Amino acid sequence: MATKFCRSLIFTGTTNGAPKATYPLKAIYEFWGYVINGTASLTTPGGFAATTPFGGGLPADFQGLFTTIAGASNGQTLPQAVIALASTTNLATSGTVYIATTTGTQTVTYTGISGNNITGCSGGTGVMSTGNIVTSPSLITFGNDGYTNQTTSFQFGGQQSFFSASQPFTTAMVGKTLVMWKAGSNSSEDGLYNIVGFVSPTQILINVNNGGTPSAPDGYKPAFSNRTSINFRVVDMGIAGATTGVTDGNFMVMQFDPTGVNAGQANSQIQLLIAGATNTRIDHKISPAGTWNGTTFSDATAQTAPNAPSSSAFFSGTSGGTTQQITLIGDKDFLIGHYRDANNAMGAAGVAFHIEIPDRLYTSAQDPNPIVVNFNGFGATTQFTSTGTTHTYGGGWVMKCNDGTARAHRCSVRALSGDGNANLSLVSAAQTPGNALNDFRAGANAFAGNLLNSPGFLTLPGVAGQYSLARVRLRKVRFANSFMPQFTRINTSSGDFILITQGVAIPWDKAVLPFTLFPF
Amino acid sequence: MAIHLCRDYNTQNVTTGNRTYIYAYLLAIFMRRVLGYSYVGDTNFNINSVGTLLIATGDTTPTAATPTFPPGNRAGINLGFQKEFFVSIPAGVRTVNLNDVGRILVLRSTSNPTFNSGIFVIVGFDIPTNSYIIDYRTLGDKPPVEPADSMNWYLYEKDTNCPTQGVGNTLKTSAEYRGDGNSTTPRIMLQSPHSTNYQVRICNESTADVATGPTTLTCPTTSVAVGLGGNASGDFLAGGSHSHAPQWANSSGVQYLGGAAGMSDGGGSIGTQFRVTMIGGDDGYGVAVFARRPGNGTQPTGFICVFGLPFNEPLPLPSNPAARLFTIGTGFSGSDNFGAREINDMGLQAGPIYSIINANNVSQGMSVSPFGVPVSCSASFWAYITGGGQNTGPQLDASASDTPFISSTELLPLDLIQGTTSGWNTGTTAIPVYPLAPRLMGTIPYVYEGRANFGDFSPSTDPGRSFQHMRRGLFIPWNGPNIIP
Repeated sequence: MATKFCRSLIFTGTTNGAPKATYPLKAIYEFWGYVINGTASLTTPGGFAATTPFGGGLPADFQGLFTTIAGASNGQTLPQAVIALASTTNLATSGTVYIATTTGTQTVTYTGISGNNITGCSGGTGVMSTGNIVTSPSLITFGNDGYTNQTTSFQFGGQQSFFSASQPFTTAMVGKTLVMWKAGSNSSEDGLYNIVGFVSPTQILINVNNGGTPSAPDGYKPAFSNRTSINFRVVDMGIAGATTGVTDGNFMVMQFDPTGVNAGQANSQIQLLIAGATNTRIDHKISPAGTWNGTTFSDATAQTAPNAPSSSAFFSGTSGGTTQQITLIGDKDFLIGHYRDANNAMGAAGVAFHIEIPDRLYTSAQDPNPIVVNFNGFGATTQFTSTGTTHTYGGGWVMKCNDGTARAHRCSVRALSGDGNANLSLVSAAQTPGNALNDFRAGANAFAGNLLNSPGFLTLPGVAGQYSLARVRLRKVRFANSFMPQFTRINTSSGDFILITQGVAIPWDKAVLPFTLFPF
Repeated sequence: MAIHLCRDYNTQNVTTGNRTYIYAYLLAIFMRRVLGYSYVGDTNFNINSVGTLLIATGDTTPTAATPTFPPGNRAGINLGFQKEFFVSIPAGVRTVNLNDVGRILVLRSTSNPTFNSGIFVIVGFDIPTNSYIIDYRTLGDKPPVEPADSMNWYLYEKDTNCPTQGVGNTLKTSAEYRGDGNSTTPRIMLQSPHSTNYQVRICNESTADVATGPTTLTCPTTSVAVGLGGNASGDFLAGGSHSHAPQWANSSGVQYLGGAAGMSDGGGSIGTQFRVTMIGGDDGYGVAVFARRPGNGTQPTGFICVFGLPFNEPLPLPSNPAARLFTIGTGFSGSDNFGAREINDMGLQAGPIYSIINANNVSQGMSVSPFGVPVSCSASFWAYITGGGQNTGPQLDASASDTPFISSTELLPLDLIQGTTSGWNTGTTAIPVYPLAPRLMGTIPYVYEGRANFGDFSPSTDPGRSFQHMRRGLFIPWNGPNIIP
C-alpha cells in the first residue's frame, strides 16, 4: 500500500444550486474507488462494499453511466437523429452523452428515449462502431492506454502531458478532471488532476502538482515518470456533483483494508450518507466488522452527523456552483480530506474529514476492529485544529464504544513536560503539542534540526463504564508546535507529515507545495 | 533482568536532625547491595567496607564489584510455623544479639526478588536458630521459604546513625557550589552494572548549598545526579559530564535552584515516620524511590525520586552517553521554612519552584544534552491536546475507571523528555540556564502511568498483584506480597 494524493484539485460546479454534499462525495468516489483501490476495470470502482455499495436512490449519473453503441448504429456517421445503445437504464430522459467515434470522444445531445434508443440527437462527428463506449455527462471518457513520460524540467503552472494513443481527448475536456491509476501501483502519480490544456486528441496537459511523484534531481518537485498502460477516466466533477435527484439517504459504503495495521481485523466499513436539509451534510455509520449486506449492517453505529462547534452542517445552503477545491490524501486504510468553495459558503476554513484504521492498543480479542471517523462541519475557525473537546482533531474522533454507541473521543498527546501545564513561566505556554503549543522556543530542536511531535491516543473520559485511557493510537496525524509555519514538513519514523495549521500535521511526501492547500 | 523491591521501610528515627537523610542512606545501600551497583568513591558515606555503617556480612569481598559468599555464608528466611519472619545467618560469621535490634538487614534474593529482597528493620532475634526477626512489611503474606545459605545479606547500622550533612568546601567562595572537594558533607558515587557504566552521585548537600528559600542557594536536601567520570571523593567535576547543574556550573546562583534534583522530606516534620519503597532492576537501569507519609499527610507530603537510564530509547542513540541519563525528583528542600510549600507528593508532573506556592506536587528533572551541558528533563504524560491543564489530564479524570474492553486498568509506559524547560527557578530574577532542545529520551524505567483514582498504595486486583498504584497515577511493577494500607 502507498499513500496517494489529490493536492488541491480545483473544479467548477454548476449553478443549479441544488446538490452540495455530492461534490466532495464524487471526489471521494473517484479517489477512493479508482486512485486508491482501482483495478483493471475502468467503470467499476474498488474499495467499496461488495454488495450494492451505492444506493438509497443515488442517481447513476453520479458514478457516470456506462454503455456501448448497439449494432443498429454500427457504421453510422454522426450526427444521427437516433442512436442505438446497449442499454438506457438510469439514463436521464434528455441530456447529453459522450460517444467514442473514429474522430474521438463526441458530445451528443438528445431529447428523448425510446427503448434502448436515444432520440432527437444532434452533434458529433466520426463513425460509430458496435461496442464503442457511451458515457453520461459526468464521465466524458475513459481508457487503459494512457502513458506519461519522465519530465523533470520545470513547466509553468505544473503543466505536463498525459497521452492516450486511442485519441479520446477533446478541447472540451479542459477544466475537467483526469483520474488515472494503475492497479496495484505504489506510485503517487495515481491521482486526480486538473486538465489545463488540449494539445491533440492523443495529448492533454494536466497540472502535475495535483499529484505526481517527487523525483530526481532534487526529490521535491512533483513530476511524472515513464509509465504506460495507465487506466484513466475524464470526469466532469461539476456535473457529477450537481447530479439532479440526489436526496437524503443516498449513500455509498466504503470498505477499508487493515492489512499491515492490525492483525486479524475485518475489512471495516463506513457508510457515507447524504443528509441534512437540501443535501447539506455527509453523515456516517461505522461498521467495524464490515457487515454490509446490500441493505443493512448488523453491527453499525447509528447515523451520526458531523461534529461542529456551532453547526452540524457540512455545507451551507448556497455552496452550489462556483469554484470548488478539494484535497484528498489516502491509502487503503485511511482517507483524509478537506473541501471548500470560493465563496466561503462553508466558512473560510471549509470542511474536513479524517477516517483511519488506527493502531489497536488492546488485544485483537478485546478490540477486534477499531476504526475512527472525524467529520468536521463548517463553523470552526479552522478544521485542522485541536481546540475542541468534542470536535476537530482535539475531540471529534468518533468510534464505536464497547456498549455499541458511537461517541467522540478526545485526543491525548505526549506533553512536553509533566502533564502539559502552563506554569513554567520561562516557557510561558501550555506544554501540549498542537494548538496550545505556540512558544517558538519549545517544540523545536534547533540543534538536531527537527520538530518534536507526538502521535495521538484516543481517550474517552466522562462516560460511566466506558472510560478508555488510550484505546488506539492514531497513525495518520502528528501534533507539533503550532508556532511553526503552515505547510512545514516533518519527517518522522512513520513517514513524512505536513503541518496544516495550529500544530496539526497530516501525511505527506516530500513534495514542495506548489500552491496552498487552501487556495481561496 | 530481575526486579527487586525494597518494600515499605519505616524510618526509625523521627526525632533527631538526621532523619531527613535516611533516604539517601537507604538508597545507597539498596543500589550497592541489592541491585549490584559498584563503588566508585565517597566522602563520609562509607557503606562499602565493614566499619561504622556496615556492621557485618557473609560477603568476604564487600568492597569489590562482585560479592563473594563462600558456601555457608548466605542467609535463609522463613524457618517454619511462627518463625516465618526469621532470617537465619551463619553463626560463624555473626552471632545475633540484642544490639542488632533496630539495625538494618539487607537481603538480596535471586529466587524471590520482589518478596525477600529489600531492606528490613530488625525487630528481634532468636539465639537457637541464630536468626534475626525482621519487620517484613506485609499484610498477612509470609515470605517464600528460602533455606539457609540462599540469600546475600548485609547488616547495617540503624538509620538513626546514617550520614547526615557537612560543611562546604572551604577553598571556594560563596558564589560557588561547595559540596565537593574538601567539603565534609557526605556523598557517594556508585556505578551501574549496565554496560554504559554510568554513575550516580548521592549527596547530602552541604550547609553552604542547601536552599533555604527560593532566592538563596541551589540544592535540595539530598541530590541524586547521574553522569560519568566521578572520582574517589564521590564528586563529579565542574564542567563534567553529569546532570548536577550547580556543580557543573560551579555556581550557587539561584537560577540553578532545581537543577540538582533529588530527595527531601520537607524538613521540619519531627515526629513523622516515612514509609520508603524502592524499585530497581539488576540490569542497572535505575531506581524509583517513593517516600510516603503515613495517612498521606501534607506539609510536607511524600516524595518521589527516579533516575537512571530510560527504557525504550529511540534510535539513534546520542553519541554522548551521558545524554541518555536522567534524574527526576524534588529540586529544593521543601522545608517548612521555605514558605510552607510542599514537595512533589510523589507526582511526576513538572513545574517550577518559584511562584508555585499553591501549585505544588510538581517535580524537577535534569539530564545532559547531547552536546554536553546540563539540560532539563521531565516526565511526559499523555495529556489532552486541548482543554486540559495541570492535574486535569486523562489520568486524573474523575470518571476514570477500569476499561470495559479489557476489564482492567490501563497502564502506559511513561515517556521521558529532555530540553523543554529553560530553568526550574522561575523567579523574577531568574534567567534561562538550560537549552531548549526537546528530545524524546525513552520511557521511565519501572514506572507506568494509569488512572490516579485507583486507590493510593493499592495493588492491582489480579492474583499476582502485578502492579501497585503509588499515588497520582503512577504505578510500579509489584508481584510482591500484600500491602499494608
